[in-house]
Amino acid sequence: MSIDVATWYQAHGPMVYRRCRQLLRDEELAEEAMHDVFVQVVRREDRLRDEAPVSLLYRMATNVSLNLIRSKRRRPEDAETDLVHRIACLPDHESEVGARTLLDRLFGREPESTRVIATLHLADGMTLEETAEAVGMSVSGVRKRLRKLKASLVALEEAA
Amino acid sequence: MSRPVRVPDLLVEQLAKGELSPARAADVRRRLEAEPGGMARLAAIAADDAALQARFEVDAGMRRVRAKAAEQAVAEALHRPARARWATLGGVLALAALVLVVWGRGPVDPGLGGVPELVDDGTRAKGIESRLEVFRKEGDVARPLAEGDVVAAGQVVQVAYRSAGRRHGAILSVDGRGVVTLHHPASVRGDTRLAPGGRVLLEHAYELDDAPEHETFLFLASDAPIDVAAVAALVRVDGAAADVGRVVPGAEIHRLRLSKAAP
Repeated sequence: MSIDVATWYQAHGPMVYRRCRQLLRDEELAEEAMHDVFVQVVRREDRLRDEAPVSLLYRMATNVSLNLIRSKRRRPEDAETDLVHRIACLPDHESEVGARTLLDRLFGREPESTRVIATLHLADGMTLEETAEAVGMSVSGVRKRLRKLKASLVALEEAA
Repeated sequence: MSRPVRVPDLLVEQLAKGELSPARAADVRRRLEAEPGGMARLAAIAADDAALQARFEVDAGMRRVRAKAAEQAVAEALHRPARARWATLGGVLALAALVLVVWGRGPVDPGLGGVPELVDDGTRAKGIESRLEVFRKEGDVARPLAEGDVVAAGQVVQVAYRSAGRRHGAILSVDGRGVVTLHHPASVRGDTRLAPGGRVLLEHAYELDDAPEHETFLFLASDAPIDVAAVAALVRVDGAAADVGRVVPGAEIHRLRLSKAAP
């Protein structure tokens, strides 16, 4: 069954916006990100199915927000402690700049879905089982992706 | 990593929208009841939805979304090497061969091999109108053109359509000299079927010639095959304002007139 993007926008746009705002900590950027999510939906509408839109749009919102965080190098306005913001918004002093570069390199090497998986599991606190269900993978597949991510991080740290 | 007490937001959102299985929904609800303020989180979603739906009006939001999507799609198409562009668009466009004769100097990119198979899933989007769109390449971006916009000889434009479930269509343009150009199908006896799905970019971008006054595009979308020869003949005689509905009863007819800048 094909999707009606306008219906999705009306029904789920608020959820997408909430997710983007949660990650970006900026209402204006969140609005931009929300619309970017629906731009992606429009461009894929003939391939998308009207099934589990909340899960799909939530993951798309996560991905778009992560990309915006990376591209804009935003700093948090409060003492944000979640992993996503620590990755993308480290203060600009020497040791942390090193860590940011390291993580940027790391995330740049990983498939986007791995970043989303990492955010769902490490930042949002979803269990491996919940994460696997959300992204449509097996638990072992999710575990493997996260292990690979952690291994990449260690390798980069050793190379740095 | 120890399991947090807080129920992840995604699960709460899914519960609110009825996207969880009964068993999973019951589990999440039970966890929310055990979480301080958990049920309030669930209740807050409906209120927040209502407030944000009032803030993000659907029609305006979708116009913004579709305009940006169009810019991205056309920019990518215009900047992609010809064969790669065909390969990428082929899966989406699924158009029959488009060997086009256009605007005096002809297509920027002449015919390519490998004609994708036409795909028709037989479904039609309800309540959605077909649409004609023309974009102009401006540096690294593609700007959508609107009625009355001024274009000039030498500029490169891209034509796109959205069938909205109409199975057949014809796209023509007529210039200030009365010259009629057929954009779809490839010839007056060609297959008029339209590609289903979302926006469809014609295979080639085009360079405008020096015809004066205007370049006016017509897009007829119909549920039945179109007599393109009859349409072209009528436009040739009566110009852009031709009553093409006479020869294609029931068709949705779209016109876009672009003004030509003086040389």
